[in-house]
This record gives sequence, C-alpha cells and structure tokens, in this order.
Amino acid sequence: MKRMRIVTIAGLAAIVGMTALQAGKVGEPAPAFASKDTKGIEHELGDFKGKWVVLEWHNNGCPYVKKQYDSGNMQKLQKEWTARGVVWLTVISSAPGKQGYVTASEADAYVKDKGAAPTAVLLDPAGTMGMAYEAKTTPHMYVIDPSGKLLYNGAIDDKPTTDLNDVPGARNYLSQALTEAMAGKSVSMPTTKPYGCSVKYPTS
Amino acid sequence: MLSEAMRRSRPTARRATFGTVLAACVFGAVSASAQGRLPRQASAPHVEVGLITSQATLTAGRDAWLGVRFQLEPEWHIYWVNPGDSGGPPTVLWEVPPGVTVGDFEWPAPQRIPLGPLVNYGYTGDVVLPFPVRATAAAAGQPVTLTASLRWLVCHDVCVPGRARLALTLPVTEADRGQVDAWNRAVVEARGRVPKPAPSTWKTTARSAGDTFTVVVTLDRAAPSSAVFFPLEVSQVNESAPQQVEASGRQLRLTLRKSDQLSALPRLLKGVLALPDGRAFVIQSPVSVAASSAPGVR
Repeated sequence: MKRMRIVTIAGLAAIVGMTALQAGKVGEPAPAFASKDTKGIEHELGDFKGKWVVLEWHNNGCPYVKKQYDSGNMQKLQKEWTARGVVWLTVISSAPGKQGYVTASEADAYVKDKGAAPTAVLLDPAGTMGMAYEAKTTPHMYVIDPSGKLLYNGAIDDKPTTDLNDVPGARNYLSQALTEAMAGKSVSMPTTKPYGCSVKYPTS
Repeated sequence: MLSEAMRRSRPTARRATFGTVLAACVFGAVSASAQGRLPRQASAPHVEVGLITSQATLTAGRDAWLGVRFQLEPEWHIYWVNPGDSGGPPTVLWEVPPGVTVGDFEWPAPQRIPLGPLVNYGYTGDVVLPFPVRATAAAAGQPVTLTASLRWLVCHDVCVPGRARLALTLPVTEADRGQVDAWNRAVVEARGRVPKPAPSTWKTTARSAGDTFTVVVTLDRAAPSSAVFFPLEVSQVNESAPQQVEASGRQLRLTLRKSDQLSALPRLLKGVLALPDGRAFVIQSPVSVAASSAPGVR
C-alpha cells in the first residue's frame, strides 16, 4: 500500500514536470488558466469543454496589432468564427505601466470603438496566463479543440510586417487551422513562428 | 505596386536590377527619375538611417562594399535576421540602373536583448548592415545611383515602425568625399563582425534528446568558458531559454531548449556561435537522435 502511494506521487511529479516543460505545445492538453474578464467573470479552460477556443494575445499600442485592427481583419475573424460557435478570448498580458495595459472599462471601450467581437477580453496584468502559454508576441494565436487539446500555436498569418497593405494577400494561419480542424482534418501547419511586439510582461 | 514588390523582398534583402523593378513597378521608375532629390540619410523616431560607401567610385566587375547605417538612440534596438521572440529585421527594396546588381545584407553577429522573460536578437548603438554592389564596365563608367526603400522596426520596450527612401550616387559627390574614409572604417568594422564559416578543423555535432538539443563543438584550441548560440533558422531553438554552456578542453557543449514551435525534428541545426573575444562563426550539424531519448518516466 505504502509502496503504491510513493509510485503514484512520483508519477504525478513526472506529469507535472512534463506539463511545465511543454507549455503551449501542440498536441498536448492546453495549459490550464483561470483569468477574469472585463466584466469580472472568471473563465477557466475547463468551462469551455466541448467548444473550440481561440486565444488572441493583444496590446492596443503595438503596431502589429494595429495592422490587424485598423484593417478590420481581426474583427472580421472574430465575427466569422464566433458565428460558427467558436469561443474567442482576447487576452491582455501587459503589466501595469506598460504599453497595452488597460482597465476593464478601457478594454470594453476599445472593443466598442473598433467594432471587435471577441467572446470575452481576459485581463492578465500579472502575465500568469501569458507565461503559462509562453505567449511571446502580440498578436500570438492559439486554437484549443473541444477536448482541451492545443491544436495551433503561432502567428496570425504569413506576413510578418506592420503594413496594413499586407493583410489582403496574407495566408491566415488561424483560419487555416480552424477550417481544417473543424472539418475533422489534421492541422497542416500546427505551429508557426509568432510575430509581433513582445508581450509586455512585468520586468522585475 | 511598390509595396507589392517590397512584400516579395521579405525576409531578406532582395537582389534586384532596375530592369525587373521597372517591369513590376511604374511608380518606382517615376520616383527614380526624381532621385536627385532623395536624401542620403534621414532622421526617424529613435534612429538616424543612412547609406554609406567604403569607396568613392565603382570599379567594373569588382564588388564594392556599401552599408545601411542605423544610428540608434541609447537603449533602442533593431533586429538581426532572426529577430528572436518578437520584432522583425530591416528590409530593403533596391532600384539600380541596368548593369548594376546589389547583393543581400550581411548580418553582423547580434546580441541577446532581454525584455522581461523574452529575448530579442538584435543591435544597439551604431549599426552597419554591409552589402556588395557590382557594376559592368558600361555601368561603372557613368554615375550610378542606388535607391533604397527601407523599412525597419525600432524598439525599446515599445516598438516604432519606420521607413525611408534614400539614395546614394557613385562616384560620391565632392561634399561627401571627405567622409569616405570614416565610412570605409565603419563598413570594414561591420564586415569584421559578420560570422565566418567555422574553420574546417572544427567539428560540430547536434543531438536531440527530450526537450533539448545538445550541440558539441570541438575547436582547434582550448574552448572559451562562455559562448552564445544564435539560431539561424526560426522555430528550432527556444530563443529566450537560458543556454547552458560547458567548456572542457577543446570542447564546448551547449544545451539548448527546443522551441515550442518545433513540430518535427529538423534535419540540420544551423546557427551562429558568438565567442567572448568578439569572433563569431556559422556552425551547423545534422541532428542525431539520442539512443535513450524516451522522456523521463521511469
């Protein structure tokens, strides 16, 4: 009995260790999170079991993010995919005092002003959720399947520039991954190098 | 049309002749005809950008080395060809007369620039990206104007995109002639910091095991106690993870965490090894898989 317990604990330790090392790794369970949105409602990964989930890392001052929002592309994607039942979570991991840090009401005002349509905007000023996913850039996109497995981790598209003119001709990796996965196919490009501004995590 | 051509120039400098640009882009031709009015350098937020040349005139059939110079405000940086976790390298589209070709940028070894838990690969201070220019006898016999449409991202904590259209004519003007010696020193210094091919006497191996690559470089002399590896291919090595470096005799052993974006084992691991004495070398090795690489469960 005693021996069994020791084995179990060692097994758990191994699993925990692997999870920590494989944060944001495609094909593995997506890292857990618990983060409040702009309405004060806490969202956990487990709440979305049975649904497709998109995570979008956001910073309203970043020129790469402006490219997506000033062109209307991000809003278009949000509308297109939430209309198909996808949960779209915009995540703000900017630390207080850093670029992109906003209060709940500022985030809501931005959503309204831009005509954005995420399911919710999660406020992550401590960077906990960002670091769990090892989110590196804004934007940085993730897709989680209804079983909670991570299916895509990477860039929004194949044009790593700040130029609005590059939006129309871009190959959108997020839409590609969602289209393939929701059709029951395997995702042909499950990882790409995310591009954008650095996520403005706390520096100390 | 211009932006279409520039888009195609990513991610590295585009080798273009005036003829191909003209065919693709009427606007480019029109503004090139007004090139006399384009400045050689420009002031932009947090950076001065200019074209410099190591020689006053072109010699037919021989590479002349020129450079794009970025003089950055303290604490601001631009990016290496692999920018690391975020950002992006400068890009250029050239317009040059027939008979003149412009080569790609050479990229001096970068530095690791930490931003909280993330790391960028880039440059601070006075940065020159050298590039070669070659002209035929017919072209070199008359003034040659090189017109650059440059784009860059300059970052501190926040980032500011910049762009400029600059032109330099060879032979240089009388007014610029006095600067050529200083420009030459800057270009030569920058080329000196461009990574060299690893000496043939070196041996590099790369092994994949679990979440890491182990790169072992056997040098031709005692290994220095530190070194930094900069991956030349994106999505292979985790750019921000600390690198474990051990020296033993002539061997340097680097333990590099794999990128989260790595979906399949790369055939080849390729990067720049920067040594503490300022020298840098391109190393590469096929990746072998460790015999006992089954992940940790015992």
